[in-house]
Amino acid sequence: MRLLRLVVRERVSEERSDRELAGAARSGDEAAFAELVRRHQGGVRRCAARILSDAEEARDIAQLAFIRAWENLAKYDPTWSFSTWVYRIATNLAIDMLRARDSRDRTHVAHLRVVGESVGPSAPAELAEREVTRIFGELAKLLSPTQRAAFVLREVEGQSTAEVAQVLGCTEATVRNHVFQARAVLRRELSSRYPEYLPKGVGR
Amino acid sequence: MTDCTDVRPLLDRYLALELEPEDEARVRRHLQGCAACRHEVDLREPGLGLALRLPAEEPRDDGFVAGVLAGVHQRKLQSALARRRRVRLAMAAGLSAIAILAGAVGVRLVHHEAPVGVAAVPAVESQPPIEPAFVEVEGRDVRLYDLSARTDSSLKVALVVDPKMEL
Repeated sequence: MRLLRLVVRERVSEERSDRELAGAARSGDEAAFAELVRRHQGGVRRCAARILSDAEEARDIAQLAFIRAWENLAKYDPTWSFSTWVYRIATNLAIDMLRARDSRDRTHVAHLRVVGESVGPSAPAELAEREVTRIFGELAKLLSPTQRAAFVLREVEGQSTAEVAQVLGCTEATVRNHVFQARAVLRRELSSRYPEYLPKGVGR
Repeated sequence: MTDCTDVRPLLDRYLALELEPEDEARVRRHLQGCAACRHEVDLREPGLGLALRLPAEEPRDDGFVAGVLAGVHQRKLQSALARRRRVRLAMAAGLSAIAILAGAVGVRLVHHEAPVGVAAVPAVESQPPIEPAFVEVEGRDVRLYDLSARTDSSLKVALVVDPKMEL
């Protein structure tokens, strides 16, 4: 009976919504906050990694984002979803980091094509995941920080335009604009740097 | 499970970012598992095709949550220390204010009492001769001159002078 009660309690705690957990965390419940971190860390880390093109920096930024979230729980507006709020903190931190990076890096990357790890010509469908990540990381560096964030949130993370607008603190029209500009840059750079990876039929 | 025939007509609006969130989620799910439709997206938007091929999962990171909680504890400690420092500063400022106030009250009391004493004794007799006094300040000898002219409302004036300086 006691075991059953424990199991039931465990199930109930598993089913607690983000908002309930955020409310408990707001009252100082660290276990509730840890559960929120566990739930959302994968997405936040992945998103930061795509924006920064650097896994180590992304991990630091993601951890800092959750720490900032804890510090600012009193300001958390429960009408927002917790994940959108944390994504917003992480994205802003990542954009700040990109802006702080030496502008020489961008210029350097703009004229450099890394060929050391290339797996050679193959159809896009056959590209290894690591190769896709590397190429995307290289090309993403040519986008502005906001274009990069909008593209990653919208096209990689699959968030809706409204959610991305909320995360970036801009209008939906601005988000679309950033995404279209980012797509244009990626199309152009993919054609000039990696024409072998384009599917047959794409204008080069 | 969404069929290719359901998805293809939606691709134009998907690429134009015009789909409703539910339809878009349906198209995305289909694209993850359908190489033919992904190829179609690749043809129109190669950058988007690349994005769709990015790995969806980050590698496990068991130390992540512990790292966040350690950071939270560190911030808590820092804010507790800062709070304690603020309290100490406030206490020191309060004590200083009390000391200054007490000093001011003392000066005022002396200032008010002085005329009574002076009134009892003739002003000329009470005036002490100006004589140098020797005092030690921070290990160095300095001369202290009392230059007060004790009148009814006089204030004592002291000059601290370098002993090597010729007057």
